[in-house]
Amino acid sequence: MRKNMPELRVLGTSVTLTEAMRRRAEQDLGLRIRFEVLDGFDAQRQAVMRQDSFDLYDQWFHSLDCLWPTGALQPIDIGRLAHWDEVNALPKTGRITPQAALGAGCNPAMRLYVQADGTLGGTPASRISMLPLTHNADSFVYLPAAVPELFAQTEESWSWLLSPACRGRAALQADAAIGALDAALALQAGGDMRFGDISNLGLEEIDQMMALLLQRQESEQFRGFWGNYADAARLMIDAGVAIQSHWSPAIAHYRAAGLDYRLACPREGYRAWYGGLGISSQARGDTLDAAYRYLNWWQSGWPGAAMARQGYYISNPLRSREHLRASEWDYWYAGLPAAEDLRGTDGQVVIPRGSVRDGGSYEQRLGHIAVWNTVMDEHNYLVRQWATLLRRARPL
Amino acid sequence: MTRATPAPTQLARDEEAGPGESGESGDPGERRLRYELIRQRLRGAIVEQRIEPGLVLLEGPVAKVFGTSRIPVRKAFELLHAEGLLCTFDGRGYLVARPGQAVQPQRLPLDARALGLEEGNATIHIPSESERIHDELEQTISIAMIFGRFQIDESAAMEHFNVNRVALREVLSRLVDRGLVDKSTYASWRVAALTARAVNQDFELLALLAPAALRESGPRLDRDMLADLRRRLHAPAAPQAQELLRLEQHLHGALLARHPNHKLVGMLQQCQMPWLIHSTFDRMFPQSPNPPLLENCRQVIDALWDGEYERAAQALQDYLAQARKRAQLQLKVLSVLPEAQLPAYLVRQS
Repeated sequence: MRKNMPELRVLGTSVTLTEAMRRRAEQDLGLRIRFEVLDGFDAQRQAVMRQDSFDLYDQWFHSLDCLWPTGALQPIDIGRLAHWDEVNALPKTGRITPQAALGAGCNPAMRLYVQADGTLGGTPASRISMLPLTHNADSFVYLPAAVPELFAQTEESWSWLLSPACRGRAALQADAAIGALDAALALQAGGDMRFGDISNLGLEEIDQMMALLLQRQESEQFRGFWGNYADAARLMIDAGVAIQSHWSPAIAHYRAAGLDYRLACPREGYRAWYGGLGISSQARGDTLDAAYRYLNWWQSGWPGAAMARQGYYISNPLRSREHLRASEWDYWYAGLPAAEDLRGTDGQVVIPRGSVRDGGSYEQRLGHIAVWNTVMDEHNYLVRQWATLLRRARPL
Repeated sequence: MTRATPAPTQLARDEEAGPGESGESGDPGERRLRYELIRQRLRGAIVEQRIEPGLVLLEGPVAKVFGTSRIPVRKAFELLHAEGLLCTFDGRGYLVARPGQAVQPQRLPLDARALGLEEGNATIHIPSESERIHDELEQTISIAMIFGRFQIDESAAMEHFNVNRVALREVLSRLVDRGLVDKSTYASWRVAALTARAVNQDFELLALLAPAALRESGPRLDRDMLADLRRRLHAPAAPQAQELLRLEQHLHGALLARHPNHKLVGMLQQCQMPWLIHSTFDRMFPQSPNPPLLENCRQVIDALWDGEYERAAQALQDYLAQARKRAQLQLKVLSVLPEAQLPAYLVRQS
């Protein structure tokens, strides 16, 4: 029996696949939409190994390195994207402004366009790998009152994650392309290691880094490693974690639990990431049409505004500005103090009046990138070595 | 290595002999030889009363004595039982006893002496034993390479494969020649880890040696083989993934093997990383698109067929440059594979 309403299956992570988004998409598009939410590494694996299990893939650009060669995604025709011209320079060139420094590693521009031979590259073409959407500059979150002798310093630094003062109270994101970079930034900031190119670690660098991290683990530095923001929140709320990798949606939980938290603007720079939507290579006919409608919906204004309230930027911000209060735009994008209490997607106050966003404005934050989340040349080796750390971790 | 296809009557007899035996390799002739040898030796020992009547024979320990798997031992027991030299009883294993003979079951340690055999001379050496170990060990190591650094524990490997140290080391040495295993003089055997660096180093060597090797090897290649490759590469329908894999394998192996400098050929055979990544990737993700290298393969084969060896060498150079880029991409994808359960003789180094 032919279904009148196609169902779209979206595979991705808790970063963007919230119930609020799903319901609004169904409502606005008149489609049935199913989200499959997994931790980043698992979403990536499923997309590669079960290519018939999804229609849309909502994930980071750096995961394309593991996906594109397997033919899991089909090229996206720019001609079918209603708002392509509104996408700003960051994903197309790697820089937010022409003067901004190019962060090390996998900037999305290098994986955006489908070249003539089917591989991905930065040379503009009529088809792209993923539609660039949400992005952010991440650092770490900490509780200033928990370790005052360290956290009272004026300049925040990645090195704090590995400071002995934070023993037993530090946690990292579990994905090797993310948490390992946080760890590398921490080691470099603390002077324990000096990397040739922090976004492309060599074998000896990985071995040395892992040896140091395992030592730290022996001395119980890490309380845990988390894969989704709910676990991250729980570690900070219930398990005594005072400093950890950060994913934006967790702040609603911190706030609800009454935690006095701060997001760092580390002197060494941010770890940036860029997310987007890819279309399954198996999507055809009605499903393919629905997929393009979903892509265009993401850039239609409301979704970008919803994401802003979670702390994420969108690739065409000006259209979302129309869906944000002036006070929201000023705080989330312009780096100005919040003129009033700001609410999150759940309607609860998430940013109290007077707060200023760490690192300032959109341009300032995305112009202060130390490194992009990256799948390095020795990524496979890093993942296998990193797994040793995870195997010996305390349960969450 | 090729195995002779048994004649039809021989096949029929083998089918009578027993059901398909998993893990029992070697051609049917060799399989019969193993259980036959075991049967004969035990029979001799029983008939000449070198074995204690009532001794309980168990498959596992007896297999250990003979240095085989349990399968030929089981077969030998069945034949000896059919002949009336062994009995079943109300317990595990067989009794050395004739039907009706009153004996007490003797559960004694089963070593060569207890089985009436000469110490140190009991192990059955059949050449294809090492072939069996080789294939399984090679496959296991090809997989383990993806998952990090491992040491090979000799004792545990001997236990696992039920072979002696000499046979094991012979196989490991062959795997060193193929670049899968590393061994420095006083260190233990290690699995060669599949890293971007190792792959790049192999490509570096290939780029230097393979085109030069092809120039010399090309004129010596079998015309029939080339004709067959051409036909398959120019067939109207693009080759299936498996077929393409076999075709590409020629560029890494058979086409270069006719070079008169065996040392050179040996060095090329050590550069297996590119091939291992590609074949593993292909096995795991058979639906992946792969058009460009097909064209490169065609150019190499066509040039060889035309007798233009310089052009063939250049085409091989181009193929290697493309293959190198591909290998780096494929290696990253392999990171999504869940860790395989590996045998105990592979010890993770951390």
